[in-house]
Amino acid sequence: MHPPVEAQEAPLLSTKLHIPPVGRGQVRRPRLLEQLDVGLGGSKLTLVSAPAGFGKTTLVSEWVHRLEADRDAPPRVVWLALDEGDNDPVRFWRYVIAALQETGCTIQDTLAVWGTPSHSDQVLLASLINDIVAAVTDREWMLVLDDYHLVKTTSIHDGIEYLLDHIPAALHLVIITREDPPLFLSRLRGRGQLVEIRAADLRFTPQETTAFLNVSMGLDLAAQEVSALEDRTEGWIVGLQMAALSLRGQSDVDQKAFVAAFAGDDRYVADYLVDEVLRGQPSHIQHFLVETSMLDRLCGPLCDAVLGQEQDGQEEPEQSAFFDQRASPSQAILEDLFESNLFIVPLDNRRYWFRYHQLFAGLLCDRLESISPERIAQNHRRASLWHEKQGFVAEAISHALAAGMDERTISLVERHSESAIRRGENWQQRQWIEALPIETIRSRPLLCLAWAWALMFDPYATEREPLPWIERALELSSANPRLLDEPDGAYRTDYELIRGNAYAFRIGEMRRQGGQPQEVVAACLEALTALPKEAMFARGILTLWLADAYDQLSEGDAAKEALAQAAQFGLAADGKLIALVIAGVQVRNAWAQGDLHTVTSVCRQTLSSVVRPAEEAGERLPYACHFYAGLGRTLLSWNDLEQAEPLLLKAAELAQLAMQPDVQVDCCRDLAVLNWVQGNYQEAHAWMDRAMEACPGETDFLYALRARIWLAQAENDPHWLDRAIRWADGRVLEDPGDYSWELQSLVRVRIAQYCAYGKPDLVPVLAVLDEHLEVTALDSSGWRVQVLAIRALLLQALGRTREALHSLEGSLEVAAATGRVTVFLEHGLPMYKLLREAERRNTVVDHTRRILAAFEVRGRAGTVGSQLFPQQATVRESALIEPLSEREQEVLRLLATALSGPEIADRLAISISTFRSHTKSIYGKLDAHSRLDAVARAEALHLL
Amino acid sequence: MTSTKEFDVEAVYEIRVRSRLDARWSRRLPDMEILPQSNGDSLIKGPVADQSALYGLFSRLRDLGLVLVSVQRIG
Repeated sequence: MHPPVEAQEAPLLSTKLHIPPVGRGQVRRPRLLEQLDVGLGGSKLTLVSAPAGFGKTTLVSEWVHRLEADRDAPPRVVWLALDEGDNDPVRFWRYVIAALQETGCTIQDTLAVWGTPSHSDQVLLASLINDIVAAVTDREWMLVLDDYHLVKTTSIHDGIEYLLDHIPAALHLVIITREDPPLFLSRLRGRGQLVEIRAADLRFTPQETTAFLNVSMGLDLAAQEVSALEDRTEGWIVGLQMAALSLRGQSDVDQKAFVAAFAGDDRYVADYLVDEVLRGQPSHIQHFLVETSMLDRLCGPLCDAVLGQEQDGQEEPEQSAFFDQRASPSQAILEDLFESNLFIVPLDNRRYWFRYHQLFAGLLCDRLESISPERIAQNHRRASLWHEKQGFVAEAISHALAAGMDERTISLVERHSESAIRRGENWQQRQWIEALPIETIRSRPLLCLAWAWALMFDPYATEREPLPWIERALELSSANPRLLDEPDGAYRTDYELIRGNAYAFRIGEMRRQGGQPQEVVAACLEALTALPKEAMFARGILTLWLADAYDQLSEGDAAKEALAQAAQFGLAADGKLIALVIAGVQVRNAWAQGDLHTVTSVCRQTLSSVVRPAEEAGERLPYACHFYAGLGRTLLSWNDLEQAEPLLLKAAELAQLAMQPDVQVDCCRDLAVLNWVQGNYQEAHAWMDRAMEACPGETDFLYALRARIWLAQAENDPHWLDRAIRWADGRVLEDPGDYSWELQSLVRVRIAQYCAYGKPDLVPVLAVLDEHLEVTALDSSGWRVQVLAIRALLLQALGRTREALHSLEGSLEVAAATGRVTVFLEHGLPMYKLLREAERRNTVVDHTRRILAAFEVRGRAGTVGSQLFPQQATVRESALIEPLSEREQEVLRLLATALSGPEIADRLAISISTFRSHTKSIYGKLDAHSRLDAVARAEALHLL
Repeated sequence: MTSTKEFDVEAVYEIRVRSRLDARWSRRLPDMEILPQSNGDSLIKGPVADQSALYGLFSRLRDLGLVLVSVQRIG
């Protein structure tokens, strides 16, 4: 329905990124270049700050080119020429990233996934900047921001300061500006981290003036003439350039006269000289310069259009293999101007796009205004038409607005503002609409709709009432429905489109104002019947809200069904993001209910149908972290550690990108557990450290988990128990209504404390736990398993074994239903003993055995302690009749690791079938019927 | 106690720049008077709506390459 953003932006993007070429006959300025070199070595920021016409851009671009020529490993230079549209933080940073990508830096444009503008806030931007910092580590980089004075948004200045604070040594920032930027310059100055080149530095010295006039420009002026010019211009570069241009081709006598007249005149230098420069040009060139001066960027066909000399059959050079210069008369003129050094700069390597030096253009434009102001409007209109035909929407609109308010301008804005919102370039769209008169907006339904969306998503909007605008839009369009230009299949008229959108707004508003779930359900159902079948996106959002409302009404089944439907709509709407969001909700709900099977199936389906295909196409979806995490966590709870680990690692990485610190914290925590139950305590603590780092708020609850790791470590080294007790003493037993980790950890520590030291009294602790249990009765199975297990341990510690086993049975029953194993492994030796007792009594025997087997496998790492194996060894020692061959022993050793069969075969450089025959033999000899069993037996027999 | 509200209303400002500005500047700055000074400076004098308008004017003068010497609020 809308052309892809990239296709529209790409051609002009490259002109923003183009490093200005080395000019003709430029004066070498070694002292300045040296200063810049020094800056590159030691400081963070190089600031080139001076008014217009001081040669800033020329200097920096020359420096960049010289670095390229002189150095073995020059820094990679990323050049971004800023303009006013870059005041939108989203667009600004996307351009920086695009610029880095163009220059070969591997960095993701995570904003491309989000699009929705409600994320244009500091946290997201910080994460983007972190991406940049992380990406520029492979070599030296330089980021040049030209015309930084055009940036006026505080958020961008904040972002640059943040970047400077975190800038790696390998990245150097250069800012070219006409006014000092509001960044912490004095701090940088004080620390010697700033190199400045200012007006005083940039003015030509007398020697440089001489070199410029007589060598570069090829004039042959006497010393006093040079001196007179130098005095008059005071070394102002653009002034000298204009003077030189005027002097070129004149006879000696005329030159003298010119210098005398110029020196004697006291008018503003630029005014005087621009007149002279123009006067020295043939009239068709004068005409050209003046008429095209209002263009930001020029190319041959565009100039032809503006001059009213449009040629037929001109193809867009991107499409044609060869661009015939002769086809466009203006192109020839542009080339000439560049050759003559007439203040025109190429913006790409093909010499297709150019721009004027700003000061020069400003003066020229002024000229045009004095000659005939109405031509300015006409030229803008022509420029707008040309840009529209080429598909450059933003430029078409800005020229149209400059041309004046008319029907065409308005309908352009109308048509294109919706896609600007979708791209997240809200600022731009808002600027466009704000440029229109208010009565115009109020009188056109689609503009009302676009404005409503802008208000909805603009985080900086002060008035946030989109609803009245929607109402107005409905009012207008129902009276006079218009057929849509580009029907998207769902809506035929603008009235239908607005009505469809209106449902979303109204219900959104209802929810925001705390509407009753029954009302929301009713409203959603009504909307769903009224919407056309094809309106997938709208249906998706509404069904999602419907599910949420059902949830609040505790109608679990209806909610689940609605969610599943919403997921289907989301996928059908080709809205990847919405499909992911919906699936994410499903996963969260299923997890909360302890429905691990739904969690795995939704995660697997989402990963295979949406995420993996995108990843294969080179796209990274940070939001997918939820699914990697959900699947990983479930596998972890099932004790499938080998498969869980890579998933959780990936989830943690993506969560950081997606700016989902909760998910990141959860994943780090899960990885801590994963390592803990394998006895890798150091790793476990390292993951806990990461979890704490990532946690945006209170980290107390994370200490609770640390305490449990210390308890596990205490099995081998009692001083860890004291550590855990110290933590527990600092806490108060929580209100039983709280599902905090802390309660469980506290109880657990007290149990261990009691077993070691005989106090504190566990009976009141039991009471608290029981109260807690009553509240969890209604809630997820996950908590229930955990709390009942802890309760069992507590009772066991008090010697009330029968009650303990009864409690454990309750836990095992729920665990068996969902396959949970790891939760028991966390409790170590005491749990193992209790489970053996339960096995003996045939309590939930299959699942109990599974857990015990898991203990035995993990046991080799010392989690369960060496007290275990002597018992087992005495029972089964005599079983090994035939000894294992050396090869079989190798295989056996690897069976005890986390490697998969194929990986083991790889490691030993044998084929899979050979591997299989080995394992078969091993099992036979050990009287084992599974890998786990074989390893356990091998442990027991001290074979490993 | 100084008040800032009074700066929200239109007042006459005099801006001194270090260049002699010719007639075309009256066209560029339609509401302002251009007064050449004996030392080669020019005064740009006229009504400015409020602070934002004043900063906007500075920006324009900057972009046209003028050197600002002083700003005075006349009345």
